[in-house]
This record gives sequence, C-alpha cells and structure tokens, in this order.
Amino acid sequence: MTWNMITGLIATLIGVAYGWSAWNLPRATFGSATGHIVYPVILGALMTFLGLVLIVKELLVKEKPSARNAPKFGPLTRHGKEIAAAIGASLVYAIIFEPLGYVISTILYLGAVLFLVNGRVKVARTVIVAVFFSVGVYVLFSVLLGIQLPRMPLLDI
Amino acid sequence: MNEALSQLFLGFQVALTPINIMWTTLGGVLGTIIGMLPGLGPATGVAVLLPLTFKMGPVGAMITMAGVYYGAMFGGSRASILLNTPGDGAAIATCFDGYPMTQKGRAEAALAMSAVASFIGGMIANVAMVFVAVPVAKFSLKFGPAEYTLLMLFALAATAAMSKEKILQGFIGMVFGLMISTVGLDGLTGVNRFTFNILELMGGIDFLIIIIGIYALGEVFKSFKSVHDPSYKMQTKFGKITFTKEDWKRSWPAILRSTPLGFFIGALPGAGGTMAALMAYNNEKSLSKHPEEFGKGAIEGLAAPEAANNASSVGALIPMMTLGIPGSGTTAVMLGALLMLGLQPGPLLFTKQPEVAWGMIASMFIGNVILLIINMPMASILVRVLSVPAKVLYPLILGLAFIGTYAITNSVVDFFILIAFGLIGIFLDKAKIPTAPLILGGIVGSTMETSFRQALMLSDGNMRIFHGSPITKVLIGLTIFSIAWPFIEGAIKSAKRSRTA
Repeated sequence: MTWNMITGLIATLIGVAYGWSAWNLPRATFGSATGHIVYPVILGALMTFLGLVLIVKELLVKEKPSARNAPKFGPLTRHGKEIAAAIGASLVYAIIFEPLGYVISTILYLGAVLFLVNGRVKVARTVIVAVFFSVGVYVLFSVLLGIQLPRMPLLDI
Repeated sequence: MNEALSQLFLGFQVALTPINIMWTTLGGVLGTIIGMLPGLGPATGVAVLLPLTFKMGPVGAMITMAGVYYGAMFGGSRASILLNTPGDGAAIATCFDGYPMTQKGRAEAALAMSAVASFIGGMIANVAMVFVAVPVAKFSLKFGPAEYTLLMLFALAATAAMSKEKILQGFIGMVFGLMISTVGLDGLTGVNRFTFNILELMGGIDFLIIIIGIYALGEVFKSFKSVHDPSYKMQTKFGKITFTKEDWKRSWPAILRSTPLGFFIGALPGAGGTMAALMAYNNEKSLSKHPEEFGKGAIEGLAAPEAANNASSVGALIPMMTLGIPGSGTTAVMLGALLMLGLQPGPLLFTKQPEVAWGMIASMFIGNVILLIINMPMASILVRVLSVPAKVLYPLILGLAFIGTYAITNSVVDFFILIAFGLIGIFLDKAKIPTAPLILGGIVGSTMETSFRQALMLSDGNMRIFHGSPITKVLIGLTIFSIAWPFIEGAIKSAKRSRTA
C-alpha cells in the first residue's frame, strides 16, 4: 500500500461522504432552495473523481512499495514516539488551559515539550525558558495587547 | 503615472510616521529571525506573528505583515549560506553556491552579497509595483461575479498544476481546502452545512487556525527529526561583512537580469519564490562564461536567486492586493489575516483606503533599507539566533502557535482543530501532497462560492454567464492551459528524448 494509494482511497471516501451529505442537506426555506447545495455537490463529485483517478493510476503503475513511497507500519521510531508524545502533551494542554489559567498551563506544556526534546540534560534551562516564555507572553498579550487570557483561578495571575 | 506618484507620496506620509517605521522594523526583524530557522518560512512567520498585529489598526498590521514577509525572504538565505539548510523553498537555490562559499571561508562575502542582491531585487520590484498596481486594480473593476469565480478558479488550478508530477495530489488538496471553507452556517440560506450538530462549527472553521496547524505545528513536529542532529554547528565568528569589487563586477548583471524575472514569476498565480529563484539560477548558469564554477561558490550564482526571490515576493503581493486573490501560500495567509482585520483587499482597497494600500507599498521601500542595514553591519549579531539551539526554539514556536490560535478565536475548542491539522500536516508531508493549493483553496473558498452563486442568481441559473464575455473566455482558456501545460511540457520532453536517443 503506497502513500498515493492511501491518498486516493481517503480522497474517494471524503468525496463520496461529503457529496452525499451535501445532496441530503435540508432544502432552504427562503431564497434559492438549492443554492447552498449545488456548489458542495460539485466539490464532492470532483474529489471522488480525483481520488478514483489516483487509485487507477497507482494500480496501473504497480510500483513496488518501498520506504520512500509507502508507510512503514510497526513500532514507532524514536522520532515517531517524540511526535506522539508532543501531540499528547498538546492535547493535555488544550484540556488544562482554561482550568489552570494561561501561565501555569503553559509552563507545564512548554516544560514537557522542552524536556521531551532535551532530555535530562540542561533541566535548569528547560525550566527557565518555560517560565520566562509563559510569563513574558502573558504580560505581552494581556497587558500590552489587551487580549484576555485565562487567569489562574486561585492566585488570580 | 502622476496619479501613482501622488498616491505613493501619500503612502510615504503614512509610512514615515515614527510608529509605522517601528512596525516596519519590528516586522522585518521578526520575519528575518523566523526566516532563518530551517523549515520555517514566510507563511509560518505571518501566521505565528499574526496576533501581534491585532491592536495595530489596519495600516500598522499590513505594514508589519509585509515586513515579516520580505524579512523572511532576507532571512531565509542566512541558514542556506551558513548551514546548507534553507529556511524555506525560496532559499533552496541560495544553498547551491552560498554554502560552498562558506566552506571556502567566504561566508562574509556571501552574506553581504545576498543582502545587497535581495535589497536591489526588492527595491526595483517595488518601483514596478507602484506603476502596475493601479492599472491592474482599475482593470479588475470590470470583473463581475462570474469573472471573479473564474479568476479564482484559474489561480487555484495554476497553483495545483504547478506541483508537476504531484498534480493529482495538488488538486485533491485544493478541493479539500474548498470543502473546509463550506463548513458552517450558510449566510445566504441559513442552513447549517457539515457542522455535525457541533455548536462551535456553526461559525465555520477559521482558516488561519488551519494554517497555523499545518505550517507551525506540522513543521515543528517534522523538525523533531533534525533537532538531535549533531552536525548542526555553524560559524559564529565573522570578519567584516562585505564583498570585493571583483565580486560586485560579477554579480550586478545577474542581479539586474534576475529581478524582472522574479517579479514577473511572483505575480503569476502559483509560481512564487521557489520557482523564481531556481529559474534565475539556471538562467545565470546557462549564460555564464564559466558554468563549471556554479555549485562551487560562484558569487553570481548566489546573487541571482536572492534578487529573484525578493522580487517575486513583491510581485506576489500584486494579485493579492489589487484583485484580492492570492497567488501563493504566504499571500493567502496574509489575505486571511487582512479579512480578519476587516479589510477587503481588491480594487476598492486602492480607492477606499488608499492610506492602507499605499502606506504598505511605501513602507516596503523603507523596510528594504532597514533590512539592508540589519543584514549587513548587524548580520553577525542576528545570526547568533541560529546558534540558539533548535531544541529550545522549536518548542517555543509551539507555544506561539497556541497563543496565536487563542488570540484569534478566544476558544479552546480550536486547540483541538489546531492539533488535528498539525497531524494532517504530517500526513500531507508523508504523502507528498503540496500544501499551497490546500491553503489557497481554504482561503478563497467562501469568496469563490459566494461569487459563483451570485453569478448564477444574476443569470437566473443560466451557465452562459460563465463563458459569455470575452474576459471569461480568456480566463477559461488560461485555466485549461495551466492544467494542460504540465502534460504538454512532459510530452515535448519525452519527444525530444526519443529523438536524441
């Protein structure tokens, strides 16, 4: 299974699902009854067509899957694990952002990502960077730019 | 002619106020720094630094964003020359001769020449823009909704077709971008489309968040691979940043030839800085009396792409500002940002808000001078940023991406969309799907749909409105040509090959 094949399959799937749900959209009660439907149906059809062409092209070429054009399944590499961990940290960040307030949640998030790439060396640098960035950005945005950021509920910072 | 000059004069009155000079400098410096970081280019720069412009007002915001754009073009070459890792696509050609010069101990000359070539390329292109912008804007006033629909279609098709052998993937990305732009409450009929009954999706997905997801999150995740690379070491001590008379004698014709080329290619939809720089490089190589020196540190091989990519960044602003139609990923990001600030780029921008349009154009003259100063005498200070470990810088970009998202929508729900598109960014990279068509599709998508429907309403559902007028015929022709061209080109090449073989 090559990347192109996967792309083709996903595109076809999206095209059909999107086009189908566009077709079944409720008709409008005022204005043009189908004005909002024509354009997305065209997009769905186009996407399906492109996906199918890509699949057919891949079937005709019959390129041998290699590391270059096909995904490798199995255990994650070090790089892959790091990305997965960073995404996990990002999701946690999204969850704690409002309850903990900007400064605390950002210190934790940046600390985690910095620790992830730097490892056990230079922990002091990790902590300093995380704290300075979080506080600095908070001051810049809240005080200077007037953009409200979630405050920490207990200490109100 | 006179009109353009008097408008430009007005622009300088705006751009020369102390606060706007400050924004120009700030944008230029920040853009240079982002541009220097491997993998991060002008599109990321504009997307990540966007929240800074919220309180500036339209003029300040536009000036700052333009500064980030051409600042990143200046900065992109620093990493190419010193580390052989281009900051973005447009700086790839700079590696070819820039890095060999560094290896030969001529880093100072390379840095100086790239700054001067960028400066001249940018300046000449600015002058050209002053005289081209108004006629183009006036001409585009003749465009009705049908013409606009086709014009956008042409820009999209040309961008997708530009991906050469990945043309199918390019179009798939483009349609996906267009699809995303249809999510939300339809303004004309009040019907919810593709919201899956999620309240937050009713307002639509803000495309700037998708851009930050793909360009900032996605790029940083991908770069995790290179942060452990121990070969990431560079020269940090420099002599005087300057070049010799001999260098100049070899380079100036290359700069003057590459500038118009870059400007023209930049103004075409889809082409952009990467192609401009590569074409300028190949052009110089074929014209040179000693092509064997190219790739081994020929200074004109460095000067040509640098002049071309800066000229192209100015050229790319023309369709964005005068027609409201971006021709590249970065200008698409800028357009999205401007729409969010309540500005509608297009022909009316020049008549209704001349201080914004011309203020920005004038600021680009000032910005180029400022960047020349920053990149020549102060280059050795600035490149220190490159010696700050990537292991520290990249996590901070993640932090900036999240704060930028929150500043745009004030909603944590968008964090999840951001992360999802960070993942999609990784997939696009793995599957080698070009990102520019997707971004472009997402940005112009809703405008294109509105124009399409307006046109059909005007004609009472008659499709003739899309091919009746001469302008529509030309646009259809251009669209078909841009899609067919890669195939024609391929056919010509294989015919030639079979003849010589």
